[in-house]
Amino acid sequence: MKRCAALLFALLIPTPVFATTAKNLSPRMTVDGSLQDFSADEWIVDATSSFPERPGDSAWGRLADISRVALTWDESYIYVGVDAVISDAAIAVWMQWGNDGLRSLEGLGTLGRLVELPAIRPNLYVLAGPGVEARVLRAGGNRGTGLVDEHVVPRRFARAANGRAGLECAIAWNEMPPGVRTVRLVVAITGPIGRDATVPESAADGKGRGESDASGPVLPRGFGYAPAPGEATATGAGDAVPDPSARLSSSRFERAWLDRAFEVTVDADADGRPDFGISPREATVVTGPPGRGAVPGRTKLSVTASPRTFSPDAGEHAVFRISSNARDALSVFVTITLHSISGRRVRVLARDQRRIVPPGNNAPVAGDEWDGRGDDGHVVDGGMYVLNVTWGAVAGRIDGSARVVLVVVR
Amino acid sequence: MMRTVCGAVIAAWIVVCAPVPVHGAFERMPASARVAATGGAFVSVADDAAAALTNPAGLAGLGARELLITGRRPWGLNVNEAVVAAAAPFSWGAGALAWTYRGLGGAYAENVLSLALARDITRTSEDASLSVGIALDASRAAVSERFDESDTAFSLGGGVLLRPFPMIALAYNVRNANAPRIHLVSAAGTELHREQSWGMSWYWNDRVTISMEQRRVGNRAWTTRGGVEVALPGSAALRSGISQGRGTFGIGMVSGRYGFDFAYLSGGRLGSTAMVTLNVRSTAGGGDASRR
Repeated sequence: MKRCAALLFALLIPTPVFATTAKNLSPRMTVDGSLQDFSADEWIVDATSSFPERPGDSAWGRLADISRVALTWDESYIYVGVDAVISDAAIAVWMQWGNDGLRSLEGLGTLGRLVELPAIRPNLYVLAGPGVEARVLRAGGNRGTGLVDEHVVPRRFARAANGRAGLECAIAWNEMPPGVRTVRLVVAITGPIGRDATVPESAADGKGRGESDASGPVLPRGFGYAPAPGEATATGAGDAVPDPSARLSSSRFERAWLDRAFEVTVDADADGRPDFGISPREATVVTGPPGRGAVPGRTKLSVTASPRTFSPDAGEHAVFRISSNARDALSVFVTITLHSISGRRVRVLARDQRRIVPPGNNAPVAGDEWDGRGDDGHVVDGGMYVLNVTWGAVAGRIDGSARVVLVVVR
Repeated sequence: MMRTVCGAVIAAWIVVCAPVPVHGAFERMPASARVAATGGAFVSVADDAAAALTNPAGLAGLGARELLITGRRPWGLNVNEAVVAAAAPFSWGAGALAWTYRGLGGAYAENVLSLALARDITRTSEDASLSVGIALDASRAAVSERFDESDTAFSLGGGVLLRPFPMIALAYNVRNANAPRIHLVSAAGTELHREQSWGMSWYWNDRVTISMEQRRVGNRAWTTRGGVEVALPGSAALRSGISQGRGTFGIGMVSGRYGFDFAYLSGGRLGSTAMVTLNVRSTAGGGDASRR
């Protein structure tokens, strides 16, 4: 009888929709930091889109890098997974769904990946790292509590021997205003936090986005990059070269090293509800590369081909390579077509294909070749053809083009 | 009636914008900026030295010796294209010699030397006429990068130009009628495709010319292009046309014996390009840039 009463009592208690602390939020997703439950097409950054590192690329060296980012959503939550190597740094994830704040990396100007946080104006901010309890801050200075905090895993990073760590968080749709169509996601590395391992309360209680002064919102203190004197700037992946001026910001968390930025359309049909059953990778638009390069008018790609004259009948191919004048790797969408000398299109080799173009003169990418055949599969007539490469920071946009003339000899 | 007109307009638009076949070697560039500016619809106009390359029958109406020099660098590439054509009337008709060049630095070059002859079959005082022309092309391709090969092919062509009334012209032209092949390194070689074109022109008060042309390369689909030329008082002309689904524009100016033409070809897949033509006539042009 007592059991029945208890059960009845339990059933009568109004259950908050998102008041659960259970980590199984859906039949598929488990927020445990293992990142195993993201499917392959939900890794919007993975090995195929990682940015090659170069010497002196990171403030934290190989000990801090965001390797992969996954994103998916269901009726209740939007899930973010970050696979990273972390030591004395922290992973920062900003989410935006308003119309203000960061719209494009182009606006970051000459700072490149050194992000001025006032420019981002996040609606939600997740921070986690070794030795610091995961925190969620909302716009306006309110510390995220309850649901959202509960669904950030791990709560505290362990110092794994290899520094490998996974951050997984689930953010309820009801955190966002109804009708959100696009979510902007910025993943960055910040720190070091080892010497200052707590988020100051001033961050939670201070001015936020809604109470910003002329210089922008007051953001948590104590997380600016302040390398120790003589600290080596070893190689790393994904981070930018530290700017000496960043040392001046050690008392204010006003800058971070941007690693990835995305804009994801979650409601493509504009019916006010997130679309389900679509691949986040398909829906993802990278707002720009994490470099200072993809600025239309300033960044130039060039294309070279070898050999320039070739005989398809002898089995020869023309191999081409795309190079960049940018200082950092570029994430761009390229379309590669071949045209006759009068401009008629002969072949489409790639259409809005996402590429990572390392800086400088690059080695050819596998598959970047032309066998002298048209779209109909037949070898084209001998003569001159134009290899045309157009690129854009976002799919479908043309920010620039590069051309080279090839000669088919028959 | 309205439905018929709309249907005709839509059909014409589809034809004009239809994809065109692709061929590489010796793909014909417009013979002059005037030809390019009117969308390349010149087979039934063919009233200057450019007729040597578009319709040799048009040379029969030439009233003076003429030299025409055209150049361009298509799409800003390191490819040079040039046409030099000289035409002259004779007692038995008219003749022209034209040289077309397209080259990629020292790597590859295409040269075509064309000899064209034309004669009036009938001509009345009302400006009605029927003329015919023939053309002999010697096409030579030479590759000097990685390969050191060259080959020459000879081809025949001819054209007819009929002006039954002063305001209408009908024309037909065929080039590479024997469809020869050029062999540089392979037995397959490259065929110089047979090119056929026919067209019509309408003349209004000798000031406005509207032309339409259909062209076929090899056994592929016919493609359509069209253009209009308006001669302005004071030795100038404005031109516009459509070719391969994109617009063309141009101007022409004449000063005494000398003429200058400019053409702008807009918005193709490779962007826009331009070309210029200089021409010299043996006698003054009479202040009409459109009908030389």
